[in-house]
Parts: sequence; C-alpha cells; structure tokens
Amino acid sequence: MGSNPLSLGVAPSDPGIAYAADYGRTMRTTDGGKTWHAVYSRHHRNGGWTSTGLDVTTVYGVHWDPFDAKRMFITYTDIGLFRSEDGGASWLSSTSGVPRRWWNTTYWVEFDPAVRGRMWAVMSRNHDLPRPIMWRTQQPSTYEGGVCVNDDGGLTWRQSSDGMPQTAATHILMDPRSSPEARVLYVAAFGRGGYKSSDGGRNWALFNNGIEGKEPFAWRLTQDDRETLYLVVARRSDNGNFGDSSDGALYRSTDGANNWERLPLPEGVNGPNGLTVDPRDRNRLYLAAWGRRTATGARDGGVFLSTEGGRNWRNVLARDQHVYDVTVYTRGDSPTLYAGGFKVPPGGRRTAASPGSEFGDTTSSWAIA
Amino acid sequence: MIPDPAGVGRIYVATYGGSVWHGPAKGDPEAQEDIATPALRLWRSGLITPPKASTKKRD
Repeated sequence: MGSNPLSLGVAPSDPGIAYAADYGRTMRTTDGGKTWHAVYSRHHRNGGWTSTGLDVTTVYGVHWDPFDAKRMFITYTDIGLFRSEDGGASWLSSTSGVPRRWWNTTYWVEFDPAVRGRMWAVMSRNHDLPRPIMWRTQQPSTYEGGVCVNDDGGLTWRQSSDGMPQTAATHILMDPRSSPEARVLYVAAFGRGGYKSSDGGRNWALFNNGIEGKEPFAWRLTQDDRETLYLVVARRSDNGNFGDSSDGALYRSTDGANNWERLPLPEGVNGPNGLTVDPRDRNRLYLAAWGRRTATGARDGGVFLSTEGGRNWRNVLARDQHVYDVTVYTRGDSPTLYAGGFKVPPGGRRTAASPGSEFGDTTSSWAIA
Repeated sequence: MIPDPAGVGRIYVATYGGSVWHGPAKGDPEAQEDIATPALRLWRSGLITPPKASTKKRD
C-alpha cells in the first residue's frame, strides 16, 4: 500500500478477503493481507491501463489528436493528463516533462490542426475548479500552474509560460486563423484574468482591459467563426448573494482580446459556467448557469438561450438548477442539445430535439470509457 | 458531452467526480437508473439482496 489507508472492510463470510481504500485507490486481498492487488484498474495487453469503473475523479474533457484518430487524451483532476494510443482501450499518464507541482490537474488541451504532434495544455496544482470549496481554504492569488507545450503528440512536455505568473490556468483556446508559425492563443487564468500569446505560446501578456474586479475568476473561453471571443468569469460567492462584486460575468471581445465588453446576464443569474455558440448561427448562444441558494431552494440557474448574440436571454431549462455546460450535437438525424450538471433528477441527462425547445428526459446506459 | 468521432450515435460524458462515460447518444430507455438517490438503493432494482434490519443501535 502506498498512502495511509482510509477504510478497511473484511468479508464476513471469509476473513481472508478484505478491501482497503486510500486517497486514490481501492485494493483487495484474498490471502488475509499477505498480498494486495488493485481493483480500480487493470493492466492492458497493449501496455497501458484500463479502468474497472471505480473512478471517482473529475474529467474536464475528452480530446482527439487531429492527426491520429486512435490517440486520445482525458483531462483529469487529481491524476493529471492521460493518453491513449489505441482509441481508448488503454491509458497511460502523459505528464512527462510537466513541472511536478502542476501534475495534479490538466484543465484543457488544444491541438494545432496544421502541425502534427503539436499541442498545448493548461495545468495546475489546484484542482476541481470552479467549485467554491477550492478558494475557501486557499487564496486564488497563490494558485500554481500555467501552460505547457508539446511537439510529439503528448509524450514529452515543456513549460511555456513566459510572462505569465503562476496561476490556475483553466482553459486554452487557439485562434485557427492565425499562422502556424505564430499561433495566437488565449488562456483563462482563474483569479488573474486572461493571457494572450501571439507567438505560439512562448510569451504571454495579460488581457484585462474592460474586465472588472481585482481577481477575475476567468474560467472558460469561446470563439465564434468571426473571431468574436467570449470569456466566462465564474462566481466567487456561494451563499446566494446577488448584485455585488462576487457575481460571475460574461464578457465579449471583437478585437482579439484587446478590449472587453461586459454582456448582460439573464435576469437574476450570477453563476455562469459555460457558453456555447451554435455552430449554425453565431448569434445563437447557450449559457449554462448554476442557481443561487435561497431559503426555498436554488433559483436562476439552468440553461439560457440568446438569439441576439447575448443581448437578450430566455430560460429554456429551469428544472435543473446546476448546469455545468451545454453541447450542440449536430451529427445524426436532428440537432440535439445536451446539458450536463449536478443534482439532476432521475433520468440523468436532459436532451432537446431542437435548439431552444424545452428539454426532455431520457435515461441511458453507459460504459465507463 | 463530447461527440464520439469514431461513431455517429455515441457520445462521451465528462463528469465532476465520476470520470468519463461512453454511451448511446439517444439513450437507452431500458437502462437502470442508479445514480440519483433514492434509486441508489440497488436492492430496489432486484440486483442485490437488501440488508437485514439490525436490532443493534449504531454508534
């Protein structure tokens, strides 16, 4: 066993069988404790590892190498970046070269679609953002992390954060119109605001012109097909307050992040989590939001739709008050919206048959990837 | 939610605390719901035997 065991259970029918769990693993013995074996993962014949379904950590995304459909990445909290070379059949840790103190969490990766093997990642020592518990015990100004770059398909990383102080970098976005020789990149830095690079990530400069607050909880970036950028700033408070400096916010820039304009959030909303631009109509925006705590339950959360580029909003999903993100699925017979979040009622996820319509329930069966 | 590029009709779902899941984009109406409480009590599904009621007071 590695770290301190947290719990131990012995089979009542056979004292030689016991299970033990620590901060990341579940182990089993069948010989009264002489030997222990992991039951949370299995060694795969391809050399990697595969889950048995006992994973209890957070995933921010699943990402595919644009040059190799079998090369995949999962951006994890607690166990960092994982890579598969066989289409997800088995997985390996992919943090070689990453500063040791940034191993804990990879929040996002971005590929260069014109350069085989090139990718960037935002990594941090500080995990599980943007949940408030993470800043109750540590000031965001002390968060650690930054940007790493890679030129061999995820095997070996190197730090690429010149000009950017240590920060919990939570999202990275590449402007696909920029030259492969001088890629323009944007990073959301939780507690600092945003950073931009115009040389492929070698040098970074703060972009906060128009962004309010001393410690903007910059969380997610989105870009439409005309280079308009959106920045989601997460809410600081978690006590139901509204209308103060702890509110989350949504910003827009039309000049490459040089200047930002604060867009109105839907009435009563102060917990934005994600913004999705409909790929068929850049003025059609979906905002995922967490509700505010009240004596009678959460309110002003859910999914909100704007058909005017964020000028006006209407609620299209109110039954789930803690929505994390929205995805527009345009493949298949008809477009479908997916909303994911916490505390969803029986049924698991919500779907809509067409944009803007009321979300309907489905249940589904799933296999852990 | 992330569409599966390897196959139309399959998606991945990233979760906060439950890793990542792969399944049908349109769902499965026959699926057993076992996430949201109180359905977490699996004996309701008949998959396991319910625990016997204890007469001892728990600490």
